[in-house]
Amino acid sequence: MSSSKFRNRARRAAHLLFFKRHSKPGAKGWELRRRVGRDYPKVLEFLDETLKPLDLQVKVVSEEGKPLKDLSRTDLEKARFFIRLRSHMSSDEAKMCGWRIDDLAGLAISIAYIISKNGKAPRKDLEDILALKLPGWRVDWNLSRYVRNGYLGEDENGVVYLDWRTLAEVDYKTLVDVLIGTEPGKEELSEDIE
Amino acid sequence: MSGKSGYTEGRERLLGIIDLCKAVESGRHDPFAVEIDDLLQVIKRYFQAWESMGDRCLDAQAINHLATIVELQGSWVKDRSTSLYADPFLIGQKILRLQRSDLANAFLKSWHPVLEHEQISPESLKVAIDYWRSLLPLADRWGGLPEGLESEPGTTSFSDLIKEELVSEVAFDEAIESLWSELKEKCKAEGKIEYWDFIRTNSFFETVRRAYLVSFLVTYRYANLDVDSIEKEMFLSPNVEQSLSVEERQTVSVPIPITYEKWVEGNKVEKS
Repeated sequence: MSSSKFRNRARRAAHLLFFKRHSKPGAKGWELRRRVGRDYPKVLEFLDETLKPLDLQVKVVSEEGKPLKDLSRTDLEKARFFIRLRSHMSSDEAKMCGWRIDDLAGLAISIAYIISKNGKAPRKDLEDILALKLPGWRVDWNLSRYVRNGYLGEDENGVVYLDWRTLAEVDYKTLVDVLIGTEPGKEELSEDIE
Repeated sequence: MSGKSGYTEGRERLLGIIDLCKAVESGRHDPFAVEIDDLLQVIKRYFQAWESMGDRCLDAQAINHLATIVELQGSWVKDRSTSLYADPFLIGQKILRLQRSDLANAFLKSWHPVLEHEQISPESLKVAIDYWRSLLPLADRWGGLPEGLESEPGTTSFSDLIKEELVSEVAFDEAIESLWSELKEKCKAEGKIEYWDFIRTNSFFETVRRAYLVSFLVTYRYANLDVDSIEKEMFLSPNVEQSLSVEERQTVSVPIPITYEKWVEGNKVEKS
């Protein structure tokens, strides 16, 4: 296939992944197959390379949370592909995106606590932990925001779990490692984002 | 294990086991807080006391929840053997000791926000403008219904309503009762009558009306409909009074098409 045709397909894939069409951003594997062709994984590899200089990357999230190398063709069809930031945001950028320091700290606590509880925890427990650091009126508001944005999910029994956006955006291992390795007060935010 | 007290105690123990398992499943307790062997012994001990289906379902439910706990124990061990495992105690301590800025910074280092863009393209604007131009005003789309004729309020009589077929002269219950009596009368000799012989009259409208009423007689067990599939005949037989026993209840629906052609054909045969 000529390189211009390949670029054209990569462009189609970029349109699908950049522009939000449903309630969730990104596209499923089967949607990409239909619009881009059967060898869409190769097209996405090319797109990923193209996005590198812009500090962006193509991220795949499977239904079962399996790593990319373990995904079969059928798993890929059901997986959701996103475009996300390759490195991480500065505190200034986070502020521009509308995240207060309290919101980020609360989200970090929630995700770390749920990971430590093997993937799910009662909402009440999470509220108690957040209430240690956040004013009471913000606890419920923040938790509801995390659920609304897809970072956390909640079932009818009040059990909270990690939802699709956490799977897509957060590297658990890095989060837990950084949390455990951080000494109190030693690492200050470069700019006050509050 | 015997007696009423053993039975009641057994049910309570099973409900306790189910509650404990549910607490573990929801993440409130560690899966290894459940002593599977001990609980299985408890379930086994009370097994002979179960009498009803409900008791056995409760027993099966308890076993099912215990199986889920065993599965959770398996994933617990698997999780702790991976590099992703974080000790809840350690995490809890860190959360307590770290400042909000430390926590926010830790999160920023592991966070790669997803891009989602919403934008109107010139092409979609063009499609939207074309659509808007071709769209009829609401007044044109909804104004198509003719206005009703205005007339002064007046009065009407019961006989006028019957003439307009808005109300029936004979109440429905009375019509059913009357047809049931007629069926009983016609079945006095043989105990049954051929379905078509019973519903057919000189008027097609009346034939359909009788078939409609007969369907109620059969459904509400004032009469029975016996279908002879070999001879392709159907017989009606009246019940002396409405029968409601489960054994006798009609359990199948029998669709009977009544067409004008069939009615005409039947009348010709009858006349010949």
